Amino acid sequence: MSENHATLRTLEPEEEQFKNLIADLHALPNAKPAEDFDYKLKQRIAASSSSEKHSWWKQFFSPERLFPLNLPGYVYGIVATFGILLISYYVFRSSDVRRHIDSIPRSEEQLLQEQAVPAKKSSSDEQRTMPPTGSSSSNDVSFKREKPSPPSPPTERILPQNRRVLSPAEMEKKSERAMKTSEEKEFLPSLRGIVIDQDMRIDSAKIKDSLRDTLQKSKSDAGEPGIRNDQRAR
Amino acid sequence: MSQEPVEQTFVQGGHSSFGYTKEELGQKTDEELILLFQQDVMPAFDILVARFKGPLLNFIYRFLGNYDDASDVLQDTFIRVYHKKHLYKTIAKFSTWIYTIAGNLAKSELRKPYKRRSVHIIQQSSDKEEFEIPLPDSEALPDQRTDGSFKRLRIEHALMQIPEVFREAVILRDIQDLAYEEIAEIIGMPIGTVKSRINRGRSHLQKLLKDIYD
Repeated sequence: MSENHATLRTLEPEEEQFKNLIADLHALPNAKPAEDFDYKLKQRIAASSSSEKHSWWKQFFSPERLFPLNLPGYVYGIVATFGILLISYYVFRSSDVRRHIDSIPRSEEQLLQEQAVPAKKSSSDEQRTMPPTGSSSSNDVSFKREKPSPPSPPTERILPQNRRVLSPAEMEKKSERAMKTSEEKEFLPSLRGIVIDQDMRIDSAKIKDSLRDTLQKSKSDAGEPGIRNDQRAR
Repeated sequence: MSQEPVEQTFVQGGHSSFGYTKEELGQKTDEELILLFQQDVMPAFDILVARFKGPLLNFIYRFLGNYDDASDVLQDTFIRVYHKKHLYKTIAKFSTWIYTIAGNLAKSELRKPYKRRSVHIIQQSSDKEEFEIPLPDSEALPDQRTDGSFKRLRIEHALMQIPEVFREAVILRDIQDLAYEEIAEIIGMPIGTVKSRINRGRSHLQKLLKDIYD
């Protein structure tokens, strides 16, 4: 230890009240390192360096081992990114993720198939399901309510228990077919002019004839328009 | 940091293998030396050790109140600097960086369960054991010298009694003579907080030593 011989600095205004204390603190003897401090420090550094060398963890993950080539850092970054993408690709291909994603277009296809079922009905059926217009037409045979037909048995594709995994080639064909069907549905009704339901296409000429017949019949049943019932009775 | 003469360093011989002589290295700033050390110029580390071991030991010793512990912590500090040299960035002063390391290690030392000795110096002296702090070689008379020693021991004792945060600030300001800005960087607090801590630490000390300063 040695005495602190350094002169006291100029005190700031707020330090004036502690002037004596500051002077005494400043006068406290300085601690001096032991003679063998450097020697001991050298020994401890050598010991810590050797123990660090023997640490298998640091040895395994040492930069020299991980990055043996003297390349810039971004090169390792690019290589690592490429490796991760490659591994992700193979994992994606070999796991359920791919199968799950493949099942998404299949479900869309099922939806299209379900929508396609009413479109396959005959045109006469379509006419019968038309709602009656104008006065009541209980005599009109064409608007007789049909017995509800039993639901068509579900196809193999719709039932989940019967669902089978399709090969990629089959999938492609199916999806192409589905695309064609959807295109037809989308464009054909608009060309023909009348759309009642999403899946129902109706011949406009036939409807026109049917409506005209119905109107004539109702006129003949009700008599001339504009004549009151009491006048008619007279 | 003042350019102290290199007393005993690991630089052997006049000319090192890195193209710098001992004298050339001694003239470089602390920041230049640590940058050289980062480039594996080992003698630069020796110069830094020689420059900082005294002030750092004084700071740690005043903070811990035990010379042996302070020596150990000082060695730990330099070992930390040796192994973590790449963590130093030139945005800060080297002295700030090394004081921060030393302060953190000293605080860790105090938190060790078997290191809770707040009145170590007084205990040692009252037990009439060997007391390693030599008295200052002044020209004062023996009774005055005894009074001075007693006052010094009282101050040291009081310093160990104030809270750590105030003690650290007071030591750095009033014993180590560092600027407020540098202390703020070491402690990691705004300058206002540093000033407040220093003043509160001084007030604590004055209260503890009111028989001396009244």
